[in-house]
Amino acid sequence: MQSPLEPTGLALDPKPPAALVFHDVDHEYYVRRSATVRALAGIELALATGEFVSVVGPSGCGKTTLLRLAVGLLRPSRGTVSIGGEPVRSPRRDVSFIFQDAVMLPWFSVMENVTLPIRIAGGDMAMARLRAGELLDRVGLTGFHNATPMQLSGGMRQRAAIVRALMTRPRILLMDEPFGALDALTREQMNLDLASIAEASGCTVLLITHGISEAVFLANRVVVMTPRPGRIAEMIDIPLPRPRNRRTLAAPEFAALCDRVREHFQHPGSEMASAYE
Amino acid sequence: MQPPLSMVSRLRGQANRAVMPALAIAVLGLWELMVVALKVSPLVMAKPSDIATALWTGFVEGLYWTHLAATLTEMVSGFLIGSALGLVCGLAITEFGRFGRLLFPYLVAIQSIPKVATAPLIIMWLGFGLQSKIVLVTLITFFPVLINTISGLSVVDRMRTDLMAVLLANRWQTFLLVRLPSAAHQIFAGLSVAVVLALTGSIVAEFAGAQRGLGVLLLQAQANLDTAAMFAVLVLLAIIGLAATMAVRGLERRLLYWTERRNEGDPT
Repeated sequence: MQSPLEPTGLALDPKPPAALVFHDVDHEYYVRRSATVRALAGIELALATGEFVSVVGPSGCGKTTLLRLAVGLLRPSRGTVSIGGEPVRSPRRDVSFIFQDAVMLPWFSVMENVTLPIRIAGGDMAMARLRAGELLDRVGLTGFHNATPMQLSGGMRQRAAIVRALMTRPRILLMDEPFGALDALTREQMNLDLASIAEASGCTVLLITHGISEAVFLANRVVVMTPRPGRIAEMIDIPLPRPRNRRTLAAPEFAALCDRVREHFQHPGSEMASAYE
Repeated sequence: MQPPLSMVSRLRGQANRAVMPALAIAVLGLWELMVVALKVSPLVMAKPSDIATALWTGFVEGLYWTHLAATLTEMVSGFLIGSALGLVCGLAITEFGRFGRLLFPYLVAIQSIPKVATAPLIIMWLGFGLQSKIVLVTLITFFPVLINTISGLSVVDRMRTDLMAVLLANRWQTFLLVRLPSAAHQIFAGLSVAVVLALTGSIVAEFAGAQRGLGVLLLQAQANLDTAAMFAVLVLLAIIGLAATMAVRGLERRLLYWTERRNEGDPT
């Protein structure tokens, strides 16, 4: 029996239903007619509903492929990716994707960009604008509703992209190095904001990142991947209390967990070590 | 203290605005002086004052109006028809994939044939009236718009189309919300080439055989050995060309409000 009072995301027994499952997933890209590159091998990963999982790994370890499989832009060469028990064949309305780049359309205002998912789905635009307004205010974009994306800074654009992703009230949020292009200070603030947004929305989140502290700070679980072909090297539970905030960053447990992740990347002379600092 | 950069550029802009007319007046003055001082034959070179007189009488005595109307009609209707066709065919070719890719190399090959060379043939088919001129201008403006539409729509921003895929946009939505606006800048580049070609096309078609038009006027002036009148027509053509280019540019700035304006201080 599952107790409703149980905290989400920690190692649970009995388990809540898995939201997103990768089962024995391999993925190969065709480079030329006969040559293939193996991006992922034997990925076995299940995200519980409401869980926040971060994936860290060196460049080219297939992290992005993992997300593209989850969103249905790619199909696995072997194995299955399923959401709520159904195999993923194409993008779904209850799954939102946040790209590395904000991908704002410059011919639309921030409001038009953010309400685009509802416009495409043919939903109620008046309601959408109302909700978008609230969300934009919440991520600190008050006064920029009718600005053009060009008038925003990189961090602000990425905030707008987060709002756009939340507009459809997704059950699953997939993020592909969303803050990779931002400076360190903005990034830290974005992480604090993202932590509270994710906690409030109750979404299941799969975050791909290059930043170890970011991965640990946000997640219930950190998945460390090996270079090509990408395999899961280790899964590390992050039992830090929620809500996560500035105090989390100062906690000694936080530093210890970061160190544990970092160990994977610091074998002397290894190619993985150089990518991380 | 250094003045702020924006002020420097503004001052420079004002200086440009003052220098440009002054320069033009100086050049015209020098031209006039040289023709008089060197006793250049009026057959070879007309004085600016004679050109101005020819323009004045051309308008006042009403000689220009019918010719101007003919050339403008040919140019504008040919341009509108040609670019509309170019746009529609470009969309059709890119949207209906494989066929278009087969066709593209031939289109580029045809594009490199000088279309004005068909003027005598078209006039033989369609006669000396406006019709033949409009057809030639249509033909000449069609290709740059077509090629630019195709290449503009073929460059696909992967991130944007991925976004549309993730949002479950259908083909029409993706086209309207992403691909067409992404290609708009390139399409306008085609239009600004086409609008200049439209004027060239109508003049050349008139050379090849016409009853009215600025091209006819040029030929008449040549027959009369009236150099000043020829220069006067060239001035008119320059003004038309400039106005047409600026109109296309103005439309682009209006429709493509999101593109960054480069060379903000540029006096053109």
